Amino acid sequence: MTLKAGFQQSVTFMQCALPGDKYTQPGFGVYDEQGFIVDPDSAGQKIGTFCWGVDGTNNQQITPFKGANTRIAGFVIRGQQSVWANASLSVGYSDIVPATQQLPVCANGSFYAVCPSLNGGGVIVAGDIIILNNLTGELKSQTTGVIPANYTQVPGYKVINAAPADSQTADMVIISNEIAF
Amino acid sequence: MTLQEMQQQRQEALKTKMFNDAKFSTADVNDYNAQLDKLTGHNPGFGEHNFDMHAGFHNKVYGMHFGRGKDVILAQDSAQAKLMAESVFHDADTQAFGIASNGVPEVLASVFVNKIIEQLFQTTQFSALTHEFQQGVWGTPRMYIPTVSRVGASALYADNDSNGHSEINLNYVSRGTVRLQNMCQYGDLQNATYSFSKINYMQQIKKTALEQIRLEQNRIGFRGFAGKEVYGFLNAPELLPVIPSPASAAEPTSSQWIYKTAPEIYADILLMYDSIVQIAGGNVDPRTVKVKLGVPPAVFTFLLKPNALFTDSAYDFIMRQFPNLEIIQVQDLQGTGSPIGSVLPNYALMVLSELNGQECALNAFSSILQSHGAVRLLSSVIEKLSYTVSGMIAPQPIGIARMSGI
Repeated sequence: MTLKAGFQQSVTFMQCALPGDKYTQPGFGVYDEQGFIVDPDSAGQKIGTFCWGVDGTNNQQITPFKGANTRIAGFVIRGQQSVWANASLSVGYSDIVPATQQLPVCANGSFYAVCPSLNGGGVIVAGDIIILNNLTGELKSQTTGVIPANYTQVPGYKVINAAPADSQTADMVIISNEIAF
Repeated sequence: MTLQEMQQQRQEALKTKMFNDAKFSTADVNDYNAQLDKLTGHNPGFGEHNFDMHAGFHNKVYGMHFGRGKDVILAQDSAQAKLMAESVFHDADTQAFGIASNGVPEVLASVFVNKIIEQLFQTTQFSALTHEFQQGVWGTPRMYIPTVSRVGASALYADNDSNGHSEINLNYVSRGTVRLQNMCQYGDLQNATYSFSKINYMQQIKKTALEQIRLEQNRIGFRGFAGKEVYGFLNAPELLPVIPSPASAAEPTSSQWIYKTAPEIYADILLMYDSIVQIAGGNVDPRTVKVKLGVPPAVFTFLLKPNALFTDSAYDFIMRQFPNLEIIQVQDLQGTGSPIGSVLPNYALMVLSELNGQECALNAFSSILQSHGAVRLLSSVIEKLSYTVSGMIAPQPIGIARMSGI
């Protein structure tokens, strides 16, 4: 189904989630959620992936690419907590929060994410580790521990459900650093 | 010679000529004198001169006197009085009126009919296939239509667990508008001239503009407006792919209805309807949902083809199966070639009125007609008309099916 058109083209069942949605509601729904500002010098932060804290900015800013930064700030969840002032209103759905806007980031939790596998045959398996492309911000998953060049393993996170029910999005999995199954 | 002398000389010459031109014989003069002597007073109406004239004598004084004046023009004698009278009556020889008749002029026998026959144009069915959807104002450059999609998942129950979630996602679908203008200009002399033929020129000019605008808005409703993100039924990006009509049995290289039997035509309609029902999640019920089926005039008659037993036409059968279906002829769906549709294809268009209370096709516009006011110029009036439209927007593409090659 092409999304360019913008309107619904067939009646489908309700999708379980989109990348960036929360899976569990731990601790009575209280996440360790923090508000960050998207680095004004960046091209914007995509929802549903991990972001990097910008070193030396009093922990206020995040950026999508590693660059000279050393710490992953957390997972960018799909929370409509800011107005996308300069977002393109035409169809396309970039899912990118523009620079200078505020967004919610979770250091811990369980989330829906698209993580295409680097395994042979591209099959995602529960227990796969999550790796983050330093240059593009793209998420991947793989079973073996050898990290390809230009990737960083996201500490603690693994695939806990390789094929969530009612998912219409290819390669959508549930990742978590809290629960193992 | 001065100018005054020239004028005097010319007057003398004219007087001489007048007398010379009379050329009466002595007998004529005498005869006329005898007649004139008998005149004692009123001699009404000669020729085209519309006045009474008195010519005659009184106490042997000859002269003339015109009815509306009091002055008497005296003559020296009866002969001069005759010449004076004839100078008024023109030539005595032509007074006899005996020109042969050429009958009643045909123009008087003819009748100029006051019923004006006006040019006929194609029907504009775009508005019949859509719901009117006016948004914004005349100057609106763009429409953003919010759409809400929902996601969510339930989880197995546990006392101290807060699992499971429900979210919505809001997106704005964007469509452009196109603003077009048209002009009316009518001159004073044009108006006066056309009025001789009992035509209301100003009204006719405005009607022309409005007809043109109506046709253009209809055209945009089917074909959109290139470069402005304004779309129509034949090119809107949100619509599902066009279904090709299956080939006919009689002419396997063609799918056109001209070669198809009544059951084959009915099968085409069923195929379109099925393409909607299959993806509509049970929201379509042929007994309750109103459906409009547009077909080109070139193929409309083929709906009347009978079945093999001559008991039903395809039209009859379709109407029985779909009691809420209305079939309309849509010129804008017609192709080209011979038979029509063999070069550029004919299209069939099936549009559901609504799905679960939401309209399937919208006639989107910001201003259907804006008059900028009539301006009085030196001897004419000029008026600009404009409109802002967004063509066809299908917020529920599920309820629209298109078929080509019929």
